[in-house]
Amino acid sequence: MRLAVLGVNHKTACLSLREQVALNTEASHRLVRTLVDCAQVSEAVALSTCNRTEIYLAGTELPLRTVAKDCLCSSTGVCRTDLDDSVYYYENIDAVEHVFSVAGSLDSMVLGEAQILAQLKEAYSVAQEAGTTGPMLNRLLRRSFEVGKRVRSETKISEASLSIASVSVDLARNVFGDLADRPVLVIGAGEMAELVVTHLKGHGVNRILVSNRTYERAVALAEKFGGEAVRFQEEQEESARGQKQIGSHPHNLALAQHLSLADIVISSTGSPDPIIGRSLLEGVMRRRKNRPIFLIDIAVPRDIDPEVNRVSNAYLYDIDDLQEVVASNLGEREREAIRAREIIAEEVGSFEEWARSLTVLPTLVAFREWASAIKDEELTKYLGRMPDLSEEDREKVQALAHSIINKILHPPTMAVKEKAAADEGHLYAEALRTLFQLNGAGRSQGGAAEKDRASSGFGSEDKTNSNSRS
Amino acid sequence: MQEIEQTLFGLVTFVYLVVVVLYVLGLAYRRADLERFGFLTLTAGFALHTVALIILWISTGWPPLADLHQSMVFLSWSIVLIYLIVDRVYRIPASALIMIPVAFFTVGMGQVLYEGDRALPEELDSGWLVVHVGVSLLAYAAFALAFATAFFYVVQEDLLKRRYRQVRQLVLTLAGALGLGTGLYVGYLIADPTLFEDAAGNRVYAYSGADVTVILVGAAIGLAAALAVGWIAARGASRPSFANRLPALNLLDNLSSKSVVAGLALLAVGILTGAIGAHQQWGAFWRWEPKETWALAAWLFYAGYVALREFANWRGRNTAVLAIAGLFIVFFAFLGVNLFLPGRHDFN
Repeated sequence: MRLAVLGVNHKTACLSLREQVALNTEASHRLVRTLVDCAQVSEAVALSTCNRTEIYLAGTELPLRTVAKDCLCSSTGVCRTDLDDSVYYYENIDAVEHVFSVAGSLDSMVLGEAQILAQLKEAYSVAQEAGTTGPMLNRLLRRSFEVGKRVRSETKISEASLSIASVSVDLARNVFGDLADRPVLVIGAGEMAELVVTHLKGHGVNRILVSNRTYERAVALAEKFGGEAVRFQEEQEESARGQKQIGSHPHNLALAQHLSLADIVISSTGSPDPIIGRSLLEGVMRRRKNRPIFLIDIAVPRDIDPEVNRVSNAYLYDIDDLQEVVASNLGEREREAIRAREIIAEEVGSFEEWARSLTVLPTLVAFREWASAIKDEELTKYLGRMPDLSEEDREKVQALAHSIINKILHPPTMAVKEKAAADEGHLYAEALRTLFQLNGAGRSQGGAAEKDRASSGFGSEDKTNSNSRS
Repeated sequence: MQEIEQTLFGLVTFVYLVVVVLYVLGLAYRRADLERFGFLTLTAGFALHTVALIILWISTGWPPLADLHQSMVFLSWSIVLIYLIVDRVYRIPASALIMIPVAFFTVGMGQVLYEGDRALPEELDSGWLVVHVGVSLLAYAAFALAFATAFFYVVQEDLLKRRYRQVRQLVLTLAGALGLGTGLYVGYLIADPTLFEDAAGNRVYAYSGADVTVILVGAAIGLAAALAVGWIAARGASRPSFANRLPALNLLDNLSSKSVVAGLALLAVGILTGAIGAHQQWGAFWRWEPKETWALAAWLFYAGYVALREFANWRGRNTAVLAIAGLFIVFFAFLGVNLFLPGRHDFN
């Protein structure tokens, strides 16, 4: 029994190719059926996510690269030469390691993301429905689910926040702790601001003030956020607004008013000049009686003068600062990935052990068949020479012969089973075949040697990877 | 009996040291399991500490507040108790890093100062004075908590404001100050300068050249050890993910100011009961003894903290710095006065 993985992912293939080879449930059902119809393939599972399409195969003969590629091309209509440049292919132990890395989200675009495990389970159940899984892939995939769980529970790979929005929430929590009932002020609009607001709402924020240069726009946005619209400037200021400078004027009374109410401020206006300066905020802090305020400036060019961060109890993060935290958190996850790889190596080791214990079984079966053939032969011969024996005595003689055979077979059988997991395990099976001439002799052991040789290569040699591991 | 409880106190000192090491390693290598183990060890140490105090109480037949040694083991017990409560309620494992070294230091010094079990000095045989000593010690424990939370406030704020970069300097500065103080004090205890009365009848200490050398060496060793520990701790601390594991600024600020208010109230009771007791025993409420003066100074300092917070809107870093500075005054009021400025409070 041999294992192979063939696929493309976000590292090897561009989006347009990944789109072409993407499989929906029906398509992957059809693909795995087509695959097991091929002579060399006995089991197949197909995984398709937005970042990867992969086929897991167990077969009688390696390599399975061509057959997998052919089936993938014919079922998705992708051009073979396109696929050739981007495809990776692993066998046996490398295949196991790859599947475990995928399950542990080490191969994902976002290290430690949670979705891949569910997607893998989905792919497995589709294949089970199609009836294309067998002992090898059942074991491989079930173990990979365990690996995924272990990696997430034993390491902190999914812990550190990796998006601007979730980092903003982390920081706000570092200042305020519980965010429920913290008033939030959103100045301007934008997708990023919206994301941050959504995250904040997930942490119990329920009072959202929305301010915009035009009040009508603020009303529209407030509806979207589920907040209340407030005026950016006093009405007379607004009507007197000659130029954009008024925004940065320290006496924007309405803005100062909102700032003294809100604990968290998200600013993303299109203003070319800062709208919140140091002196404005110092006035605000006096009105706030120095209660802390957390300001997120996601506008480019910036809305808030960086000097604001020097004001006591005011905490300002601009887009670069947030980006830096994301980078540091990514490093955090990468450090955890080192521990995750240790878990994977351990699991690959025990899978290999299991696979190896499979390899000696045909030899042991042949060994037993050989012995009982001799027993039967001799019993027929000698019982034929003793016609006077009663039925009872015949049975006793048969039992005696059976018992002797069993006692003799027991130690070598146990020894071979025990050694099977070790590196040189297959040598014991080979020795057994040589010593007892199990190759080809006798009735039913014909295929045993061949099967052994085919599977004893598991995990040891012939690495025919087309792509270096990434 | 004496030997049992002294052995137990020695063991408790050692257990607290182990706890400190576990927490520092847990912090530096971001291992939650080490912290959990540290907490279990701490709980076991605290149970032992309680048992030892009860034995001491039974064997002397008096609350364990009779002399400096007993006060210190009682004070450290209060500190650990407060820490355990605060950690249960607010989940601040990091504050163990400050509270437990203080507790370790206090119980350890109590061991060094042990001169045999003493029955209550006759002049202390007054209910007022027992309350005075116990309540004053609880006030000091509350100030220790205010210090610990203020310390982490400053660390957390530096992480947030200075973008995770300059925490090392801060941690090293504070650890260095603590180490230097501890080293000076241990050096002083080892040097043990002689006490004599000068011509005017004042009792003063005489320091020999060897004494000064010992004190300076102690200071150097304390400083070096604290810097080493601080370096390891700062290494684990200079990241955003560490800020996420520290309590929020708001919580630290609140807790610190609440501890100050509690300490202020307790110390007021302590000073008043002391005055009443003194009136009964010696006929005078207040005699401007060094200990009295310093305790009053500490009280006024913390009263200033509360006033600035209430009336001048001081918040956050400013008040945190005050709470940190305050503990040095308390430290001197509690120990320094006894050791450097002898007076009626010689026993504790």
